[in-house]
Amino acid sequence: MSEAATLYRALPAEERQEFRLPKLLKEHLGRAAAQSGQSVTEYITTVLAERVTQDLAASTEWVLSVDEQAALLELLASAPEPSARAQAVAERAKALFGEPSP
Amino acid sequence: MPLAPTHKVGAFSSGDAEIDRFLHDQAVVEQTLRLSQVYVTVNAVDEVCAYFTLSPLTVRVEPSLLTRLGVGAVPYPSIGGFLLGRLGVATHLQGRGIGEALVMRAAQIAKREAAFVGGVFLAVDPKDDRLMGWYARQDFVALGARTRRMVLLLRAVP
Repeated sequence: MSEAATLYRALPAEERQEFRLPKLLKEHLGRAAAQSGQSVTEYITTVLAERVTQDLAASTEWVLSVDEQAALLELLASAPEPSARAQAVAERAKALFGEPSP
Repeated sequence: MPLAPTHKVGAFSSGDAEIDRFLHDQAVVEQTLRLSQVYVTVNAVDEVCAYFTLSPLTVRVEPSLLTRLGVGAVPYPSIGGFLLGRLGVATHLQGRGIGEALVMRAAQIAKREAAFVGGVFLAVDPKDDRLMGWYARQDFVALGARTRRMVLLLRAVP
């Protein structure tokens, strides 16, 4: 079993999810679960955990409107230097947390 | 420091139920699955006093926009950055500038990571106008007048 499935299956199964599926897929699901020695719930949770984790990890896109993209590009064209305020906060962060880890 | 299994998260209370629930119930799983990195500060007995999450992100840029700006054709135009997803400070430590210092540390970590994996900004998605004003005071800039999305350029991070 994958790390994702192990982690998710260790959590309390406190929610229910209903969905409709073709009769044949339900039959094949039952067969596949039995072949893997799991209940249908265990089998679905395992498969779902692996797929959901893969998809979430792959979807790192921050979807911006065209106006927001334009504002970001405009900002990137500027050349900001660390402000005096930022320098002071960086000093405070260093005092509180130490140097940033290498 | 990154969240570790030895850190105690159960007593953490920031006054924001969503921020608290994430740390109590989800942070370890999300970090283990590498969906986000959770950084914490702890007291002498390893209880979490404050935390934030960082994850990489990309912004896809409309090719027509680049053409308008005279940049020309780029096959897969996108800009890399980092998202400061969640940030919480225990109620008894609030009002001491720890949140500001945590944002700075998040930005410094993002800048350090950017040197290896690329990335030019740290993004936040404040959930209300009060928080938006707070991030504006940390030098974040809103991406327009009708959005709460804000970024801090890593070039501006000491």
